[in-house]
Formats: sequence, C-alpha cells, structure tokens
Amino acid sequence: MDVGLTEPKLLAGGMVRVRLAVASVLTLGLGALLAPPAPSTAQTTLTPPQEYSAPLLEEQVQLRTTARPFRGVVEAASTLTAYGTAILPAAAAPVSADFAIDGTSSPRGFGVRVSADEVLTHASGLDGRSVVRLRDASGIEYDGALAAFDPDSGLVLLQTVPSDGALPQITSAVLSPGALGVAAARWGQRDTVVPAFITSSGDGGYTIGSVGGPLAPGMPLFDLDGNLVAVAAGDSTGQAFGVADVMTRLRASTSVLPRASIGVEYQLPPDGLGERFGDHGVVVTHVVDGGPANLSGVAAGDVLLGVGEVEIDSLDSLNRALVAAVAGAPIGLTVSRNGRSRNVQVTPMAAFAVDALARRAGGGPAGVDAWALFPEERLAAAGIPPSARILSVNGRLVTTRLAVTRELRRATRPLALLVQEGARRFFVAIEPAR
Amino acid sequence: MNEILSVGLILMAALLAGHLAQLVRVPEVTGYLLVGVIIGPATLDLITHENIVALGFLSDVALGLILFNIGSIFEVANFRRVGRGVVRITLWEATLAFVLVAIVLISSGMTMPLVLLLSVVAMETAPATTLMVLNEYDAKGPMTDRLLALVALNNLYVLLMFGVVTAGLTLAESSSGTWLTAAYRAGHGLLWTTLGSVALGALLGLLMDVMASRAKESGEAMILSIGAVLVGVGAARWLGLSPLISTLALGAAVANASHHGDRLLRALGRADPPLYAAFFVLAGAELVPSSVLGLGIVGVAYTVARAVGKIAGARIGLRGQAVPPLVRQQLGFCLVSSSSLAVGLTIQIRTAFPAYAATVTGIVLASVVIFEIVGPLLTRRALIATGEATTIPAPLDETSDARALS
Repeated sequence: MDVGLTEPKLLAGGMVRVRLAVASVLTLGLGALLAPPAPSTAQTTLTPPQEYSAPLLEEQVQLRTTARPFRGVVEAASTLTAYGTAILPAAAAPVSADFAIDGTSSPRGFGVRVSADEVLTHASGLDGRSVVRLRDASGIEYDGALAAFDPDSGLVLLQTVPSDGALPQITSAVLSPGALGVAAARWGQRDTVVPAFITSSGDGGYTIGSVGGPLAPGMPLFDLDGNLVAVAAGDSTGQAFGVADVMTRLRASTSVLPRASIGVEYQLPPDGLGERFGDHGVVVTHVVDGGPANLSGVAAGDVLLGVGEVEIDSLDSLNRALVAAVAGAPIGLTVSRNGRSRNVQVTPMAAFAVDALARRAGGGPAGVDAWALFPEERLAAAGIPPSARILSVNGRLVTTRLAVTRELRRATRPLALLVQEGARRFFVAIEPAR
Repeated sequence: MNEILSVGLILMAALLAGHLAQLVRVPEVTGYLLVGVIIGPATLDLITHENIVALGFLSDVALGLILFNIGSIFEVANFRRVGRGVVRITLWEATLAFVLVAIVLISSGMTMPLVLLLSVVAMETAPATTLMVLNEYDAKGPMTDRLLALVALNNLYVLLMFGVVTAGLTLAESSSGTWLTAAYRAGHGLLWTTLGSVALGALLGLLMDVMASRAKESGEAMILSIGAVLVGVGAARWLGLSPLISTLALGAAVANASHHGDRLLRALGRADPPLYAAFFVLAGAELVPSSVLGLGIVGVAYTVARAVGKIAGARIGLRGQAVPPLVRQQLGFCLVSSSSLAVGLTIQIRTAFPAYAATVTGIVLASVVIFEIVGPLLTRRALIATGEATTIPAPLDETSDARALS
C-alpha cells in the first residue's frame, strides 16, 4: 500500500512518544490495580479464613462495634469465640483433616473424620482430583482417595488410613434460623474458630452467616453441644449441608458410583434408526462440554463401538468398561460417525469433576417444545413425552418450529430426533410427514 | 499423523490449491479454504481433529499478523487521503448489518443473548480475505484506498462492540455479589480489554520502533516483526487482554511511529504467505460443509440479512461523498467476506458463554463457508468492474507472484 514517505509521522516526536509510553504504562498499572477480585465459585480455590486467636477476634469484633453497632451480635460472637476455642480440642482436634497441595503450606480446605477410615469434605476443595493429600491435627500426612460423591450437596467421602482417635457425634437435629454454632478446625498447630449463625435452613441444607469471612470448603460446623451438624461448601453463598442426611446418601451411593467418567450419556440404537446408527454399539446422546469425550472430539450422535480391545454390544458392557476406567489413564475408544469409524484417545476425569463441568455448562441448546410440534398421539407413538424438547433433527440443532417442520416435510426416511426431558437426553425415530 | 507432517501437508496442499484457484480464476483464499475442507476431518481426514487442536497456535499467530497488518492501515496519512467519509460508511454498513440480522433472529424466536452475539459477529468484514484479494490483483484506486481503511475501521468497531456486548451479557447473567460489584466487574473488564490492549500494543509498538533502528538487515527486520507480534499476542493472553486489539494497536503504533515501520511491514510481508496459507487451510479444515445444509431458514435469513445490511449500508454511507458511480455501486460487495475475525470471535464466545456455543458456532461457521466462497468472488468482480485490478494473475504464470503482502 502506498504511504506518503515524506509526511511526518504522528508519533515521530520524542515528547509525543514519551507521553504515549507513560500513558500506556499508567493505563496498564491502574487497570491491574483496580481489578476486582474474581468472584468466588465452587470451582475456584478458596483459602481458609483468617485465623483468629480469641483475643484477636475480640479486638476485631470491637472494631466492628465501632463501625456498626450491633451489640447483640457482637456479644454473641465474643461468647461463641470463647466457646469455640474451648470446645475445639474436644470436638475438632482429632477430627480435622486438611489438604495441602503439592507441598505448599496453605490448605485448600478442611474435612472432618466421620468414621475410622473416612473423611468428609466438600468437592470444591479438591480441585477436580480424586486423590488428595491430607494432613491431620498432629501434622501427619496421608492420602485420601475419593470413595463416594453426593451430587446434591457436593459433599465427598474420602477413604484414608484408619485412625483410632475420637470421632465427633453426628446429630440429625436440624438447627433452625437464628441458632448459633461454631465452625472449627485445626490446621497444624493453629486453630481456626469462626462463630456462625444459621440464617436459613431447609432440605438438609443451611445458609450460614459467619463473623470473620466465608468458611473454607469442608469446614465442619458444630452446635453448641459440640455435635457435628453440617459441612460448609466454602463458597460466597455461605452454604453448608447437614451431615446426617448426606451420610445416608453417600453410604448408599458407594457401590454404584463410577470413580472416573468420560462425560457421555448414551443409549442403545433406537428402533427404526438402524440405517443411521447401525445395529452395534451404543449411541452417544450427550457429551459434557469440556469433559474428556468432548475434548477428544466425540459428539452426540456418534456410536461407541469399542473401549480398548472390548467390543461394546450392550449398555452393560459399556458400563463395565467405564467403571474400570481410572481418572488420568487414557483409554482408546472406537467411535463411528456417519458410518466411518475411527479410534479416539480419551482421558477420563474424576466423576464429580465431570459433574461439576456439566452443571457449569448450564442448560445447553434451547430446542423446541415437543407438544408444539406434534399431536399427542404421534408423540405417544414415538415415545416422546409432551413436556420434552426436541434439540436436533438428524444431527442438526433446531431452534425454531419452522426448522423442524421443514425437515419433516423434506425427509423420506425415519428421522432421528434428539429429545431432552429433564436431565435425560435420548434419540427417537419419527416417521416423516405424509 | 504427527503435527510436523500435517503442517507440511497443509502447505503443500495450499500451494496446489493456489495454482488451481488461478486456473479457474477464483481468489487464492477460496482455494485454500476448499482444500482445507477436502483434507480436513469432514472429507479425507488427513488432518485430524487432534491435529487442528494441536496447531491452534498457528491460527493464533496468523490472526495476530493479520490484525497487525490491519492496524498499520491506521496511519494518519492514509486517512487524510480518504477522508472522514470512511468512518460514516463503516458506521452505516456495520450497524445496518447488526440491526437487520437482529431483526431476523428476533422474529425467528431466538433468545436475546444469542441474538446479540450473532448480530455482533455479523458486523465483521474479513480482514485477511479482503487484503489477500486486493494484493493478489494488485488493486489501486479510490475504492481500494477506502476498502483498506473500511476494513480496519470495521474490525476496530466490531472488537469494541463485541467487548460491550459480552460485558453486558456477563453483567446480566452474573449471579454472585451485588449488582454494583457485578457492574464494576463488567465495566472494568470492558475498559481493561479495550484500553489495556491498546496501551499494550502502543508500548510494544514504540519499543519495536526503537529496536528497528538497529535491525538494518531485512532478515533482522523480519525477526523483529514476527517476534513483536508473538510477544503482543502472548503478553495479551497472559494479562487477560484482547490479543486482537493489542496487535491492531501494535500495527497502528508501528505505522505511525517512524519510517522504520514501513520497512518492518515490508519485511513481515515476506513471512506472511506460509502462515496465511496455513491459517486458511486450517480454517477450511474446521468447517463442516454439511452444516451449510443444516443452516435452515434462520441461517439462510442470517446470511441474507448480513449481506443486505453490508451492501445497503455502504451505499447509504457513501451518500454525499464524491466518488465515481461504479465505486458507489460496487463498494458494498467488497465488504461481504467474513472469516478470520468471525471465527476468532466465535472461539471467544465458546469459552465465555458455553451455553450458546453450539448455536453460534453452527450458524457462524456455516455462513462463513458461504461468505468465504462468495465474498472474494464479489470483491474480485468489483475490482475488475471499477478497473482497479491492475494485475489479473494468468494461470500457471510463475513470474507473477502477488502473494506477498506489503
């Protein structure tokens, strides 16, 4: 391109350059300085709350008194602090476990022993790993491996080396709003005591207001009798989950939970779509965004024909192959798309990490209401619930009724509809419009 | 296939495609895209999905170079020559494309966030494609001058609008903290991404100009140019800034700093061809031609609305400006190409708004297939019609090498 070589350049002058350089540096510096803290979510790392000794907490509380007089709360906080410090050796000392990551000195969260060889904590402190390093109150380190996960609360049971220390008493009594409690844990030689107030409760969960900042993931909450009530999620919403209810679910789930997941949902090839999906293998109905299968290019509509050397001929054979998978150990999948098969390497992740990704991904494509497209009889004949949504037709995402009806009119063979009902997705065959 | 072999295959295929494109008298970039479709996962699968992911950095580097070249158009002398009318044309063509696409998508029943994201991507005019066609035909004239400035302004406008839309959507969807903290976060994010990126580009540009005085050999100039662009892209990523705006600002700073800038741009021009070829072949490899068929009425309407908005917007923007009637007629058609920046924005949308990723990717990539084939042809036709194409490469003419960008 032609440029007037003899014209003076805008930034040719020395002073202009200096001013521009200074302005740029100031912009970058100010921008970095004024950056807001990243919003805390269950997936981000939270550092444990500042550790207060009782006198320090009281001093802080007094400062708050000056800023915002709220004498009742303040007095309660002081009392609770003293109480928490007093109960800590009995209630928390033998039962705290904390997590050190890669030799760093700051724990990412806390946990509490609920049986001789099990520690209860919250998934957000584990950073997607299935084996973590624990350190108990006496400073001894050992490994804890994921044994069970409760998706409703995010609480996780870790299997670890047995200990014969005292265990907390778990209470199934529900604390009502306004009740006082103490979140307490010990890390190394330091105690963390956070007075807490129940601000709301229901469905086995609590919202906790605490003096001194949010509770770290996995921090145990005790009532005023020293019983273990709940475990904190460690996010900015102040959520905590009742231990008694969750333990029942966790114990029940241990036997069927796969430890590793590749982030797919699947079904047998539906009747009427043999030409599209073939007669072998299982059809992928959903791939978790960002999950192992998604990262390797597997998509909904693909057919899984084999895992490693094992041929997949039923849901059971695939379940068994995936249960044997280990997070972090790549497996080979034989995947078929449009009749062409290829080999794909997939590295499974911890199941709860994939679950977290799935929840983060949100609702997914919008689709079209099934009831708006077909009469009831046709829906019933195809096995589509009226409340379901049609997400895609023959592999093409649809967002409008027009798109679907056009496909139906054009087709001469049965169409593959990807249907979503609640959290479940599945393919059905539907005959084209006559 | 390992990555080294796949890069080699990409370049060889690009070379063949370039020649074949000349044979059938279509722009080279169209040939690159089509050969990418052929060797990519959609057809022969010689370049696999894993290869594309592993070679993603090549696309990032190429995009950085493209925007560096575009940024260099923001040289005061260029704008003095074409006048302020180009700002008016840009505002009209991009805004009209946005509005028409938004109307079409809203009437099809799409949700507002999707409408906004797709409409802002529709504003884009492909920088590299347009530049490549202009250079291939050695175009000169009033339309070419305006076109360069228009593409540069268009890309700047699109990047700014994209920042505003994403900040607004993030604010609207934010659920943590109070509204004030969410607003602050969104506002800071927008200002940081725009002003911070410009600041980074300007700083690097000044530094580059100081070093250019010592880089006397053309080889050294090329090393300096490529190194500076890579540092710009890398530093922007590291600081959470926009690599696109940073390299745009870097190009502008270099072009306006001193006459070394022209030398650096010429040196860079010699390094561009393999990277551009690789970029377009990879872009083609990522396209799924069957998705064009799956566009549906909404996708077709999106494509038509965008084209109409661009062409009509350019005509309206040209009102009151003294240009030859043929230029007035043809300029809009040169703005129809859409590719690299649209693809880059789609990737950012995929990361920031995963819930909308599938629909946005489907519609944008499918429309890119159409615009990348049709757009360069329209540009070529316009250049020939206005007489601004000074070289029409003869097929298999080894002496006419108009590939280097300068």
